Amino acid sequence: MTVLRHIPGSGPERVRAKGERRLPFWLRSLLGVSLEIKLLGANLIILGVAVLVLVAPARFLPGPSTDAYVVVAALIVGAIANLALVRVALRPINQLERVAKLVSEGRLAERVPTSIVADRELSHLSRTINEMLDSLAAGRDRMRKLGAEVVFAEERERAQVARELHDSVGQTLAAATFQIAALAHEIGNHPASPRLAGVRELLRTAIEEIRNVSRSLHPRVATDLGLPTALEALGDATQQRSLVDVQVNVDIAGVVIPAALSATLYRVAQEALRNVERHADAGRAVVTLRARPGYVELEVNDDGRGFDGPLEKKRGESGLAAMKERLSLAGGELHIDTAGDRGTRVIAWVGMDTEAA
Amino acid sequence: MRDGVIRVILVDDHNVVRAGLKAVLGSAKDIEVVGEGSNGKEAISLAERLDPDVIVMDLSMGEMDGAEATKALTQNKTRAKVLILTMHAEDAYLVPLLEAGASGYLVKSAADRELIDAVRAVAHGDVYMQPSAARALAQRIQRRAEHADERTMFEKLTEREQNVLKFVARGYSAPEIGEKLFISPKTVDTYKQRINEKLGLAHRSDYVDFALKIGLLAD
Repeated sequence: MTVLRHIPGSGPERVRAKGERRLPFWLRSLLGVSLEIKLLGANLIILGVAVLVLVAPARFLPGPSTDAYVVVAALIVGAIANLALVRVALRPINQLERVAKLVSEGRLAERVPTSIVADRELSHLSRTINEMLDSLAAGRDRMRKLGAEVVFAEERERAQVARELHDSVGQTLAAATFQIAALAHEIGNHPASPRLAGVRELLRTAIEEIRNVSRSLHPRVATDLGLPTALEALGDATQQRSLVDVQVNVDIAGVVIPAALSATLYRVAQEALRNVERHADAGRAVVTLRARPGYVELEVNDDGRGFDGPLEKKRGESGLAAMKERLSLAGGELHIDTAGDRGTRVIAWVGMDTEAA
Repeated sequence: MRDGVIRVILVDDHNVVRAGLKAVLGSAKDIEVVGEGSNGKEAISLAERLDPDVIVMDLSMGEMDGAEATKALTQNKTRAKVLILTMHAEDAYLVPLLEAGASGYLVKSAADRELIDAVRAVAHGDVYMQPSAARALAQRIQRRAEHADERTMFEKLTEREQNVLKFVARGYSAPEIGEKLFISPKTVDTYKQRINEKLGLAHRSDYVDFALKIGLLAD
């Protein structure tokens, strides 16, 4: 089990914006006080100015109604200042709301921008939310990797069992048929010969069955010969059996596809071609394998009859539904694009952490 | 061959399989098993020491498998013919083995019936394979022949032009290609112009089509 490490860049230092640092400390502290203090301060300043004007001994504004003007002016300035302060103070809340909405839509990379006018509590809240989003994203990433690890570990396990069956049990059975063949030759025309031939036939059937079980557990050809060669062989075999013209295009530009992933994608192609063969009544199918650093994509297209309705309910596609499940666990996707008159397109996409060779 | 007897060495990592093969070959008077090994390395040293006519060898073995050993034996210019024996029924395994220099390919489940014929055939210089494997081989050759014209055209380009074509097909831009080949983007455009004159490839999609046909993107 891996130990969960501290994710660099997830601490509070990441949350602080650049603009904040450029301001002097006293101004930052002043802007950071809570809204009540800001309102109180602004009103006190306005009140102070008004009082100063009213009680000033040397009246520079003559006329009897001057006092009333000063009061009205102070009230107007006070109202504007209050409104402005409240508006500015609420802006960070609007941003919080916007980010929350984006995140809920699945955009986990969004973060709350820091605001210099936000008071301390609000800044603290933004920071906490950003930290929470960071750890959420990291957690999701870990889940994805873990899912992929589980799928590929299972693939390796199956490969191991398949190999064991095929190589050990299969070989021993084959050795038995060799001994029987030699024995049959030795005893020549003996009353027991037909029974010996019967035993030989039974063993041959057993070998065939072992081979089928092993093959359905793990497509060894994909890991032994590499996915491109394996797909070409699969295309040839399908064409041979079904009279569907199968074309295989490979465009992997030097990217190495891991063995376990090769096996999974091979099975997707196998399932898709099997469906084409059985149900699509197609004349032509095109298999395209495309890989670039960071991802690999497999596409199977046909020009036959498509199908409608949910995947799981339709004819043989339950195999593809299982593949979809596996791929999504492995951090990939499987899309099926189909309709009655324009054939079926199966696309499997998987991201991977390998580099070009 | 000495006195018309085919001298064979058996290489397989399963003792029971080796014993079985020996029993099968024992019923042919013109075949003699002169040595046994359990991996590719032993196959090579046995071949040097015993100078057999035929090496019957398993494909999947622990230390140095049959394909690698076949390659090494071919490089050593060993006189012995290699007959690959395998549990794999997939014909796709055949082509790389033939390319490596093997003379025959036989599935183990058919060995009780066909092994003697197969050993005789390769000993006489023939290539032995089952009909289904021959079909896979024919398909492979057909596929290569399909786009032979395109391949010849490609081979007539200069090395630089070939590289530019390959990178364009892989989706690199002119500046990126220039960086890779240490030439200016302008020079890359000049090469593209020449490729267009020689092969008639104008758009990137033409490049991709062409590259796919001759398998340029497959590795």
